[in-house]
Amino acid sequence: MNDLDAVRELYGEPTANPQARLVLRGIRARVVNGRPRRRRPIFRLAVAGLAAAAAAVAAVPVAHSWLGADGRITAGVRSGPDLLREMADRAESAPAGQGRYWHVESLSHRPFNKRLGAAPNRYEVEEAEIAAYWTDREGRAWFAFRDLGARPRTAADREAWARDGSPEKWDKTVEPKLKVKLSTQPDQGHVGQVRGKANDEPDAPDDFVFAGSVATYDEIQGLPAEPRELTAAVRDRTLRSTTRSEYDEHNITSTLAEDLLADLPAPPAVRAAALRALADRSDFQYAGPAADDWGRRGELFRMEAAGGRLREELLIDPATTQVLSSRTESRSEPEGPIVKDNSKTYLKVGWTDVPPAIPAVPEGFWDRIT
Amino acid sequence: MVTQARDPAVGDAYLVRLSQAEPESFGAVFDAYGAEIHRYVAQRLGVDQAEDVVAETFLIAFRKRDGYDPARAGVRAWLYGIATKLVGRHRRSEMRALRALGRCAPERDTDGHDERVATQVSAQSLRPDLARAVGSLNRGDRDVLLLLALGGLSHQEIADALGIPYGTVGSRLNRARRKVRAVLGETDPMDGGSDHE
Repeated sequence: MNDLDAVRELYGEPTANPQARLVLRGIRARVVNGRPRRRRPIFRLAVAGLAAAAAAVAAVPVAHSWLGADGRITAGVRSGPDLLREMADRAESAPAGQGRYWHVESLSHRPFNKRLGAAPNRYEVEEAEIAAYWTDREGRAWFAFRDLGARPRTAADREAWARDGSPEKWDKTVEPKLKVKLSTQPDQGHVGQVRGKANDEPDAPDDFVFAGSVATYDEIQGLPAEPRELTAAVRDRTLRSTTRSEYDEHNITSTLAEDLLADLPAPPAVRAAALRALADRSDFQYAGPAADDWGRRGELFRMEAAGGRLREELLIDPATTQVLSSRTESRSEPEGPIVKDNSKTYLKVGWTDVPPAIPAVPEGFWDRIT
Repeated sequence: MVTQARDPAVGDAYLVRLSQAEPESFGAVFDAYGAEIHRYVAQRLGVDQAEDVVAETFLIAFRKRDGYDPARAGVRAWLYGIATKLVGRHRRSEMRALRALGRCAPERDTDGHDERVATQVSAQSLRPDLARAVGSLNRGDRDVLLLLALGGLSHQEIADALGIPYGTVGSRLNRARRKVRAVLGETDPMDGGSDHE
């Protein structure tokens, strides 16, 4: 008998029974939902942001629903690759950013994944939050987070909510032993320096996330300015993991689009290279002009992966080449119901000297996002 | 018994990246690896201890996910590494579990193939000695042996998981397997020569 078989035999299969699966589900609830739910993030939000042209952080005016299916998108006159190459030329000649902190502030909203209210007055709510991130060139980082609260999603949901007594707070048991607190009101918010990094060295300069792993400011500045070299560098970094998946190509595209156009302080030449590289990516599809929740107009691009189980859209301002908004939809099956539907609006992106602070609650934002 | 390959639809590094933006998406990491990490920890510490250790494994992974470097290890190896370090904090539980394993047969695998039944019969009488042999290994050697035998990790994955050089995996494994084979005696077809692999 092989010695390894003998060891396996010795240990047996202690979890090969239905009870173990229940235990596992309990552990999952503790791990995934048991922590303070997005209340006190000690993590680095994969920041967004960009626009070399936006040398200073500019607050954006607020506005309405965009995105695909409603038919408001009209076919573009120019092709996607042409548009991207024009944007690249513009990005290249933009001045490099100046300021003490690279700063990104984004507002996200998504449906809460459980229905609320007592039958027959069941309704769904949308929850919203603001996350902000500051990083300096030495790798120090600050993170701010503000829960903006929850609201009934649709007119029908609002009516059901009113019949249910218009509650302003909810304690919803989403899993056994697990309660989530929701409120119609924003919380006080939180801001602080990011500590407790990978290596537990608070001053280690590694505070940008690029292609799934941490990168320093200098590494971002040193990325190739030639599109094919940049794609190769992204591919190399993205595919370092030993296992391959059907998301690999998508991860390369989304690194070029989201990391380099939205999240990271890439220098003008690297931004330009990312835009030119995207012009050659067949999975980065131009969908036409569109506007976001806040009325900002731009060019809409779509990405699809895993046979349609993951769909993402990015709205880019052609003048500043800044990413304005994004939306991600995930499904378990290509044509199945959406299991995750996250919309994100970049409120501020760029270099700033304004020190980290708790973000203000944008006035009237609910009217724009629901 | 080969550990089932994880669902290829779950993009390792991408998931960790996703969870940097959205904590709830870390649930997908749990769905991909939770069961096998639970199995591994339950094997080493017993089902009762496993619950807390597995939860802690994933909570640590969650807290440290920004530090996860796909260049250093796959998500699976990374999780096994965290779990193995935590198991190391429960030496008494592990020894208790091993003594129990030596005394009686563990719960049967549900997929029982014929050849496995034969294996079980011959292993049965050796259980106490085998358990003692595994228990007598030093921790580093035992970790390597069990990551291979129970986790089904490759040598490279074990090196990544434990943060040790590739060569060290081989030397620890040789030491551990020699002790196990000594218990198995004549029944080991690999006996004689294979110690020098």
